[in-house]
Amino acid sequence: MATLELKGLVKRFGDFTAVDGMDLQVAQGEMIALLGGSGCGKTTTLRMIAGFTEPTGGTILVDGEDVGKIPPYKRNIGIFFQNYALFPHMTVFENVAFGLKLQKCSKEETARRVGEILSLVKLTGLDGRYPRELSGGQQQRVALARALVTRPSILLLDEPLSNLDAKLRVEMQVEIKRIQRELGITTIIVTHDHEEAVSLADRVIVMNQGRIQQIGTPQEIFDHPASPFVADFMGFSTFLHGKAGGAPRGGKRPILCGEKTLWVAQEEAEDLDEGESCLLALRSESMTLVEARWENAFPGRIESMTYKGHTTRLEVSGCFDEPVFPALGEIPGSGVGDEVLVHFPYRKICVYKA
Amino acid sequence: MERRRQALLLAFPTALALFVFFLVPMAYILLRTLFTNGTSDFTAFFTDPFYLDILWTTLRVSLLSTGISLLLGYPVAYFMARTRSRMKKVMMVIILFPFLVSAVVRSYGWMVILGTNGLLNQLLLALGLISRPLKILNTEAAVIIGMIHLLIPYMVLSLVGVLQSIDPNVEYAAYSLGATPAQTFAKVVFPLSLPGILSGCVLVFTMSMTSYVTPKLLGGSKFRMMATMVVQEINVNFDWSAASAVSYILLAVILAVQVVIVLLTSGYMKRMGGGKNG
Repeated sequence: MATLELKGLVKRFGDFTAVDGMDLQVAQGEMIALLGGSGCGKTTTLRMIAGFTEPTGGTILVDGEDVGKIPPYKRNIGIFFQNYALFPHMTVFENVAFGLKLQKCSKEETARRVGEILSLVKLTGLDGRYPRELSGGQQQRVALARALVTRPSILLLDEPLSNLDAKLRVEMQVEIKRIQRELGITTIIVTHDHEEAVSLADRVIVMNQGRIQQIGTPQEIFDHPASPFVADFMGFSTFLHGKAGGAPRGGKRPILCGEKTLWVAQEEAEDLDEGESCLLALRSESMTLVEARWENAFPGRIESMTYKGHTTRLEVSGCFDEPVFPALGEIPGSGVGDEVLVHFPYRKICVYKA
Repeated sequence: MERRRQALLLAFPTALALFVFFLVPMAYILLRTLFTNGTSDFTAFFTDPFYLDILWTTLRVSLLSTGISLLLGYPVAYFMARTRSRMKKVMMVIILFPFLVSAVVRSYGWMVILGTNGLLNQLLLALGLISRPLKILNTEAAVIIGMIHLLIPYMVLSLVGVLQSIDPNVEYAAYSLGATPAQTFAKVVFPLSLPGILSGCVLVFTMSMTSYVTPKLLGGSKFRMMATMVVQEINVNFDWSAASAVSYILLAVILAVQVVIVLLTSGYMKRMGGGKNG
């Protein structure tokens, strides 16, 4: 258990800047998610914390101490690799015991601790198997056990769930969260999947092109992305261009989208001058179809429908200049080509200066 | 099943050629020796210190060449397997380049370098490291040097393939668990590269056991290895029977060494999944 601090961390590969001045503080026992697309610098950050890559600039502090000159094998940082990186020539027991043997644990102590951690990840009885004899989910849990058994001060998880099927993924999400809580270990998880980030982490850091775009609780980032980029990354589907209208009324501010007026929450649009152009963002699930002509409900025509299991995603044109993409919990009575009224709840609209 | 039959059909001409042009003459040589002289050529070999000394020299030169090739080749192979720079292609060309030059030409090259007035002695004299030229050419050392130069590409290529197949993250995982680079090598990289070490060693060992040009040109007139002995029996002593006995003993020794290596490592290879992945 430890605190972690990154100060102005920079990593360049030739002309390419992978990590561009990253500042971050992680509290003891906290679980942080680094979220971003491929090439955003999240994995490079992880490798610098682990000590596999040397930063071009900036410092990494563990418990307030600069670890820049400490080689990876003395950092006591547990790491879980996306491809598990198990030792193929060792059994499950030997894999997990590897770190303990290096720490010169006695035979009894090693056996006891390996047994404990294997029961924690629910792999008891598989000690004698080789990695190639295990399923993907079992291999993953061996990798997790191996990273945890040495009681590292910090745990780094690189895309821990990306190789698993949907059912196993949910199970492992619960497992990882439970184990992390149980051991109270400071954890950094790297992922490109926003659902994984919000469901696992205490705080989410959204990265793009080596820079932090937003730091916040999962809820903050999910509901109020700080920029259109973050909104897009967090699964906002519908983006509308508009111009700020006049004075607010009843806690709502009007935004002019073409000839239509869309009302948004006053506090979202407070720093916009009248006539200033802006970008509005909405999640698919926020929009609904309504029968009567309410405020913020606009008619449009269904262009396409995609059945997605528990939702049906529509593409509706004609509400505004841009198409909108509502997702409905139940299959609507209307079909492609029909006219519908789409409602845009004012509290669910995020507003950005454009 | 249909595919298997097709594969068998495609393999048939080569198999037939091997049988007619390789196995039949081999059997013929052996049988002729046994029918004309019985086993006397074989017993002569194992009772004559002259022959036993040649066998021992051949084994010693081959083992040393193999061992030194492994020690020199491993770091090169590791670097090539791990680097992402353009150097890798350059090194590959450098390693493959000697294949373009015949062993004869290369041995003459070494004669120029290792001779009494050769480049090496001139350099060492100029640097004042020695006062009289060293005798390197026409010694066993010269043979081993030439042999390593000839065979190290095979070692490096065998090792590069295996080292490349080792996931670099496995090494990082070992570091993160507290293993120093030396411990990571001993416990992870070395055991995982053992198949490549084995195939490289078997290849280099076999080729140096049977080499003729290098010992002939770099070892001098009094230096004898098994292959030069075979030629001498035929060309100088006109004793085809003795030549075939020497050939078969050489073949048997090579096979025996390979069997020993396979037996010593079979337990380990089984752990690795018999060479199969997944």
